[in-house]
Amino acid sequence: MHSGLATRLTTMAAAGGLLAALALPAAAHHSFAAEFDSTRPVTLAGEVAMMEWVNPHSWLHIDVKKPDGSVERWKIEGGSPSVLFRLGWNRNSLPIGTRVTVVGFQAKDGSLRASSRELRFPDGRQLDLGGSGAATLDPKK
Amino acid sequence: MAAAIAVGIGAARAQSQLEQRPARVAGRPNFNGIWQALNTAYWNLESHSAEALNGFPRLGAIAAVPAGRSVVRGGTIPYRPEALATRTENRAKTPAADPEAKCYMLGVPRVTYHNMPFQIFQGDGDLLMVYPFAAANRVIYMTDRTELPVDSWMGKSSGAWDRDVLVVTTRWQNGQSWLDRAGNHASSQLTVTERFTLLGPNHLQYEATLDDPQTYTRPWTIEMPLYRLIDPQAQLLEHKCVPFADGLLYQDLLRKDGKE
Amino acid sequence: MRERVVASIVAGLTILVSVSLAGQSAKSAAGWTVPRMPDGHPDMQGVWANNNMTPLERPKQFGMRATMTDAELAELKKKAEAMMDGGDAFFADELFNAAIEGQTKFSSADTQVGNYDQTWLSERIWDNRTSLIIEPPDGRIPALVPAAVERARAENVARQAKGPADRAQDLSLGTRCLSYGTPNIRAGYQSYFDITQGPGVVALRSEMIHDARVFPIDAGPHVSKAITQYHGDSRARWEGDTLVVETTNFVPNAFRLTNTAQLRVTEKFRRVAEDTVEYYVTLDDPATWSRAWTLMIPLKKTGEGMFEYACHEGNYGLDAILRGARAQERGR
Repeated sequence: MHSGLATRLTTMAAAGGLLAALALPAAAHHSFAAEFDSTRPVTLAGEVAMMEWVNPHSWLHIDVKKPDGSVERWKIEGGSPSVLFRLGWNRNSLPIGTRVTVVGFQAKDGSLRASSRELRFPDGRQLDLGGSGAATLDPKK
Repeated sequence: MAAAIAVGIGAARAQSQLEQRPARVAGRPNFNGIWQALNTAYWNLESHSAEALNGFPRLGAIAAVPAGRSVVRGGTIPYRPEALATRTENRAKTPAADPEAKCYMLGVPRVTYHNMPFQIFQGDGDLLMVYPFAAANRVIYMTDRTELPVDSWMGKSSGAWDRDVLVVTTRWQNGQSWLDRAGNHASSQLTVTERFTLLGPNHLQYEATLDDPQTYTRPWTIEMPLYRLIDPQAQLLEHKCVPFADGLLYQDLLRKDGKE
Repeated sequence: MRERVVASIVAGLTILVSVSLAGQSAKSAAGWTVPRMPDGHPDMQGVWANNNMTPLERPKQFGMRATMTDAELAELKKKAEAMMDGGDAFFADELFNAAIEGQTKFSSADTQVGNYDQTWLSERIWDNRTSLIIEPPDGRIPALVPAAVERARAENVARQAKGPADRAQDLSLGTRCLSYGTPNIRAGYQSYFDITQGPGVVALRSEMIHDARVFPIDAGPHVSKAITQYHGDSRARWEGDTLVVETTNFVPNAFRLTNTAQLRVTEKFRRVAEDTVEYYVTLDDPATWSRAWTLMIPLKKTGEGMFEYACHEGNYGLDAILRGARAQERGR
């Protein structure tokens, strides 16, 4: 890791605070910056194709129809499934075909992957998928 | 002479451990201990000849599958035609496509007859089974019957006693594991019903019935003895195989000019 | 779903219980006796959670005080609660330290776009301890020995010579889904453990990466030094009603600087109440720290189950990090 956090970990290690550093999530969950690009915001309107309940991040697959009629399959990073389960999510939470808008940031390598914390539904409801990265919308809306 | 004495002492220690071992725990047969299957089911559940593993010439005779008899009652697995075709495809892509090669958890029942020992913990409540390969484990829930919110690699195992037989029902596996290294497979509709019957302090009879209407034309059963490791020094050792799968999984993503 | 999210946060705020601990042993309810297994040893089975708010190390302003006054605790909680606005998630000691430093808004460590948000956290439990560390008496991790400082420096130099993700092996054990550490002491985020007891053996499972550590009781010497494991090799014994577990044979440098092959971890488990197991951890590595140090975490019984935390099987993140690094090298 060469982010600022890695430098901080090294400094803390020298000061004897390494285990405290290990207690921070970065040791377990790579930060947003390792994978996604904050200069590549995306807004994706599509339909739920499937939900992958995997760790350390779940992945929501959506089919996004482009203006030219073609369909792109995007993978949206979400939070850990166990946390979602404890909040009441299960296999029926996001049925296939549900229309949804995702606002997030695209992967550094330009692939069809994004990290998002905001799912919006046509009726105005919002859902936090828990992906790494700050909410891009006002959470009070 | 010293060697003979050493063997004598070891045998005596094993014997005294056996005598100390309770036959029952909390009123039930005692399944505690480290157990292992001694067959080639982990290569292929059905009968198979000895043959080479193609593509690994530098491993010589080490890269070979030993011969083995079927552990399937009736001999062969009753696949639906399309599921049989899937097995053929799996075999064409083996071993790279085998989830075991990727160090993925093996699922039930494959964990049981894998070529490493596993350990059963039994007190007065839920049982626990711990498997070194990929650090898998599963609780055998004796009273909790809630469903899993989504499918998982090891599913959820519910246990009950049928007199002295431990009956374990496992559902909600995600269908992504294989049953062996020969491409045998099941879907996420699979229900596995295992029966553990103690034959004495060091042997148990293991049966597992696989019911998956999407994959098979009828339920079918495997059976084999499991042997308890009696060496008093026997213990599980880790097999966290993620690093062994790095090359397979990330082959093309490693920096080409990097120093090792 | 939003309503449920908000409800969870509100529920979290109202479950900020403060428990006064006298020294290191909780006062059990009058008349409570520890339940026992058929073999007579204490029954510690079940699922236990580490959601304690106490920081690992004691903030300097508390000096040698192991506990704070009720007034100090109330003040701190007020500051912390003001920051629990649903914003950036705080892990481990972050919120406590932010409150101590008088911050009014919590911001996560990820300086680019922030980190997870607070929906993802369990309710945290406050008590008036000033640190998890109970030895040494200043409540702080002892100084590194010179050899360890040198190892850190050399490690840093070596890392500068490489890219951030040349190989999978360059990334942390957690990112690779190998291990989140033994002992696992991070609080408040999927910090669940379950204990199973059989005759002569105890198993401790943690939810994260589904690790099961096996503690054989009275089982003779450790395995040979030629065998090292990410979670070491454990041997246990009962001392009265306390389970003592000694673990050695750790993979050296598994956590970069935290250990050499000399690391010895001693854990003690003691059930002190219906809902509490006191979990003591002593870390002793003469090649790393100038002295051994001990922390205590009160584990609380939870009525919840644990979920399978399959990590490596779906580790697209690692794949993505490697891809991202290769893409950056190509100048995309």
